[in-house]
Amino acid sequence: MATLCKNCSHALVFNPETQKLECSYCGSSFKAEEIESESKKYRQDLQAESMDTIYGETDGKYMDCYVYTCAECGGEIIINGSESSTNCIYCGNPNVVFSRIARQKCPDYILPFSITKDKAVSLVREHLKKGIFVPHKIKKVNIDYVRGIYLPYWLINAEFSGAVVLSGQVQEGKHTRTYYFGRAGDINIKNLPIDASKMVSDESTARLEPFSMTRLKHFDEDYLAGFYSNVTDITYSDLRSSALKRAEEYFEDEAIHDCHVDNPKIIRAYPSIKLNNDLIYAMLPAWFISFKYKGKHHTILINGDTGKVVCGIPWNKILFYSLLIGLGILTTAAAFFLFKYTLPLVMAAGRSRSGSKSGKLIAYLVVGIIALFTTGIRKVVKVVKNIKLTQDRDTFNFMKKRQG
Amino acid sequence: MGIYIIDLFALLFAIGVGFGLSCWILGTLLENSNSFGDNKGDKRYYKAYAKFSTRKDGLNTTECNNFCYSYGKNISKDSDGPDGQEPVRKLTDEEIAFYNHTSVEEAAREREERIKDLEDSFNIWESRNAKGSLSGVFAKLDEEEQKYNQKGKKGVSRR
Repeated sequence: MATLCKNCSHALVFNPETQKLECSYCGSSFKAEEIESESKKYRQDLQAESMDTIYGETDGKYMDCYVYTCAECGGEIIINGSESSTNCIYCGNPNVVFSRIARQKCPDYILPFSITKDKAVSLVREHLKKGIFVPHKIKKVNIDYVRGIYLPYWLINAEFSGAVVLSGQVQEGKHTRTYYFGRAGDINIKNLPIDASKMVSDESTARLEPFSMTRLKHFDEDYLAGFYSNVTDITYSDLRSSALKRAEEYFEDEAIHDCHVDNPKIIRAYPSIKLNNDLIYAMLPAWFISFKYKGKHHTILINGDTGKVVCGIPWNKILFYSLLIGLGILTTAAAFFLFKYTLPLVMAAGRSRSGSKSGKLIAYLVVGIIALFTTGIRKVVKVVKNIKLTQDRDTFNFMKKRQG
Repeated sequence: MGIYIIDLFALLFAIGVGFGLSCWILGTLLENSNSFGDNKGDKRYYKAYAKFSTRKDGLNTTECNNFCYSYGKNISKDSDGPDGQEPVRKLTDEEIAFYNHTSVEEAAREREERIKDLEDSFNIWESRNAKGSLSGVFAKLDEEEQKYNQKGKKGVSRR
């Protein structure tokens, strides 16, 4: 159901720019906490009916589909098992499924959108425009869908205990030796947000961080007006494994920094986590923007609070490889003349004294070349990994299946 | 003959340097151009600082094999909570008291403290916002910074 304007009974929509609910019909605006809806209690008892119940099916044919009635036009709103707010496909008015956020299920906090739809689109366009390897077609691409979705999160306090063995190289005079190090200890984590939606990958949502938790507001369903939202659908075992994974990353990162070695590698680990049972349930904002390129859907995520853009864009391979070859030939030619005249000098110096200095110089050169190659390739791999995440079908379906 | 060998070496090194450097330059350019937001929330946002209780350097093979078993603690076995297959939900004070083996009053007090802890950070932001100083808005002040600020000193640099 929608929250209606006190003056004209038109549905109100939350405006991230003014942080108020606004009526597009009469222009009135209200703060979310000021609105006291008499019908809220009544609405909490309204249930969305399962499609199976409506059509008398017993075999779960319409699994995960529910029907809700629009408060404005009476049209049927079809939602999935974890959606808690949506827009009516007929009249476009915002609707909140109250039974899903009532009482025990109600989130404790919400971080209202601060980034407007236009701002989100312009942030994406800005990023696309700047990219020198972004194909021309993508720079001028038509955006298919823009959805503002409140994602459910659990803010957890946890105790982590870990023990790791890592290997690393240490320079000893002329040689490098591999040593093994052991580190054991604890971490106390406070208010770590864990994505509570099964439908979006944790990898994508973790990249949306950080959210400014200092701006959280007590949950009020009026903030949902005009946006889509989902409720939690993960199990305790999902929550524990996600929290363990994040805490382990922090622990291993600190252990690596503590050892001060080159090429550190974790070879053994024994992680363990104890979650505080007192969880805080919050809804955090994200914009999902999708476009189609070469038959594939790409979904860009934007933190609805800070405007952080998360995506990997396909690159112009012809331009990339021609530049790589062109620049490679130029620098090779320059380096050839440099080496042609310096190598004899280095070798002569090596012959006159001990050969160790020139040998060392050549060894450094070879190591430097390998390091340059691997760093460059690692950066390309990072982009490819990010592109795959942007092309994730689950993320696209999560956003696409919304009405309106 | 000697000249040719030097030329050959010079060419090999030049190819390595030339293409290695181009690979690094173009890899960096590509990363900046086509990949955005490839980082997760930093540990300082969640006070996730490790306190090491054991540090052992120069382990041999046997020590490597035994280290995790000797110093790793399985704290998850001490935690009591709902079954792993249950959907995550807000627990009542009674349930928290049951799982934590404490009284209901204690569970309620702990929850209040947890919420207060979170809301204290809202207040810090609100007061900073009112003063027009929004520096560090996206990171909570740690205890050291709070104490420092309470003393009225200015110019605290963030980590």
